[in-house]
Amino acid sequence: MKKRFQLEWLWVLLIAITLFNTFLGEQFSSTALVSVLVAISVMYKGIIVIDHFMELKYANKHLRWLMRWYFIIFPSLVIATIFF
Amino acid sequence: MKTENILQAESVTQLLENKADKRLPGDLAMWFFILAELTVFAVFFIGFAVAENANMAMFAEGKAQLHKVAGLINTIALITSSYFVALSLHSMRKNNAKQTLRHLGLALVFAGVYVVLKLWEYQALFALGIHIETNTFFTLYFLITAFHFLHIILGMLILAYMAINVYKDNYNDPTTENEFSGFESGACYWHMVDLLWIILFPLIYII
Repeated sequence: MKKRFQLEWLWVLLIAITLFNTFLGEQFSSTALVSVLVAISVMYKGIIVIDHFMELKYANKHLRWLMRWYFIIFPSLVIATIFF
Repeated sequence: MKTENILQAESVTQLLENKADKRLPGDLAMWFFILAELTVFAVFFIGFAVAENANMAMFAEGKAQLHKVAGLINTIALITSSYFVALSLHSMRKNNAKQTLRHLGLALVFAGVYVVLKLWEYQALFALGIHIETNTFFTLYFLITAFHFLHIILGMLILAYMAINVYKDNYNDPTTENEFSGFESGACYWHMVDLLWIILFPLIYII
């Protein structure tokens, strides 16, 4: 039951972040700060899905980090393209 | 005697931790497939970012023509679908076939919402005279989203196959690792499709 409740809470969090990202994109056009905030939230959303939905948090650590790195590298590249 | 017990308990804990560290949800072959798919999409993401840097104005104009609300609803639909797949795994562990079927069914319904809305979005763009050859932005938009769309269709077929197997009681012993790994593999594939959209939505629609 605890696990199910945790999944529900994480689902609400993911939806809230998605709505916040869309609000930022709509209200503040494409400023550097908006892009950085969205990229960081994408990183966080990815890690939530990898750890809790895919259940990699307590699984093979190499695979977990391989997946996590994907979500660290790509949003970071988005941030990098803003400044170069 | 007490020290011996403590040492024994510590070694058991370490053994369990090591086992957890090595545990692979689903089949190894599926993970190779998932990692290969993620690599292909990585090339698309890099290509899109590079092309955007070279054509800032065109990409901004292109993004303004996309339906952001449709993109948002699709994101919510995929996250919700992924959530129900995670719940179905939870129900399978409790050996509750009825609940597993209900969760898989709901996951498929939300995936269906994505499919219908994406097709409507394509239709709306075609009605505006926008197609794959309009400009670089729309070439990449159609290529990336259509490729992702095909993954959604494949994912839905996998979810349906999993549901049929649950209905037929083919995963009759979910406590056995081998029986359960097929179900886990399918679930992980669906989460990968969701993960890709988590990057795609802000990259194409928002930033």
